[in-house]
Amino acid sequence: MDRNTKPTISESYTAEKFEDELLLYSKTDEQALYLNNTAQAVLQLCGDDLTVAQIIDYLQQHYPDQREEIDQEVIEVLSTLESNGVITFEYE
Amino acid sequence: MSNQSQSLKTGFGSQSFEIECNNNDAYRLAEFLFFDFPGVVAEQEPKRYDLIYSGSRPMISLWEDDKRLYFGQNPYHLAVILMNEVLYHCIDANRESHALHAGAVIRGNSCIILPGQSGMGKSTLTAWLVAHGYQYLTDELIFLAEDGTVTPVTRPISLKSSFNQNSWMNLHDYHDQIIVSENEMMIPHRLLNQTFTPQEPLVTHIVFPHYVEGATMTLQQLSPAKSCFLLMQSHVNARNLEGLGVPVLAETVRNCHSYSLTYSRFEDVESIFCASNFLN
Repeated sequence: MDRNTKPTISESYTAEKFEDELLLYSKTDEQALYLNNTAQAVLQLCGDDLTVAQIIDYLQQHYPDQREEIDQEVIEVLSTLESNGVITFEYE
Repeated sequence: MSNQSQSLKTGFGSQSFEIECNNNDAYRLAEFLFFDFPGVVAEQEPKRYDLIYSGSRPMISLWEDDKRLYFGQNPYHLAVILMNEVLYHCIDANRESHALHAGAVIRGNSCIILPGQSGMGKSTLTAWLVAHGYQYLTDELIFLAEDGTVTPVTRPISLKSSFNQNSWMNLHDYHDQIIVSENEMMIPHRLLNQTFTPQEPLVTHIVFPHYVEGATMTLQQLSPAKSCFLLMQSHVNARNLEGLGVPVLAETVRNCHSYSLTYSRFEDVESIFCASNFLN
């Protein structure tokens, strides 16, 4: 994954919030996706016009004791979101 | 009763059905399948089928107008096709509720739904629960309304024939009341539990069953989000999921206890469902 690209959230998904969990549902292809806390944080940052590297950097600053895990986890979450059509990547 | 043609008229929701049967055997089969359907819906033009038994070693056939849906000698195969036809039209005509692949049973004020696709063990678990004091509603399809009430499609229970070997299902004296094929069978639910009153209860518990041969039993409580996610996998009419919206399903699961159950032996299952505190 190119860390200088910016993810954009697809408008085809609607969200249903359950306390600290989130469920996404796509009306166009009837897909549902369950998001845990980490995935929700990543998805929220996808709406802030940040690159992949900036998202990782932001989360690492907030959770400095989990720097190593965050790098890998963010990439995994972004891959899942992209493969389910929740986000697309803009190439500058 | 004379051996003459009879028409079985029934219906579910806004859909009516009329099955023209050419003799008593044909009528008995139709009655076996739709005995617990609510009845005719007057304002709706019915879907019509012809069920025909002919010959001394009867060849049986099912027709929709001039289209032959089945021809052969196995009542089970015809029954599956006819039931699937009827279920399809029930689902297609429904606009007001979520259609879900799920078994359903009740006990006291509690209603357990058992959602899952074919092969997950929901019919078998439903049958076991019915044989152990729960009242049958359905083993296959429910309509879940906005207020959380369940309208079940009550039909004969469909099981793998191998389950007839289970000691809890002692059906040896009732072979004339069961329809069988090589690997499957349909049994009237009253053979397992005589108690039955048609009901549309409020769902209180959601259990997602998963039969895995040889597996150690696990019962895991699910968060509402995970439960809603799994419930959406059991949805059988995406049009209504879009129309009625996920919030209706979400609100229902928020008001229920949800579990994921992996099982292989009914001795283990008994410790859960027959425990006095499970439905509290």
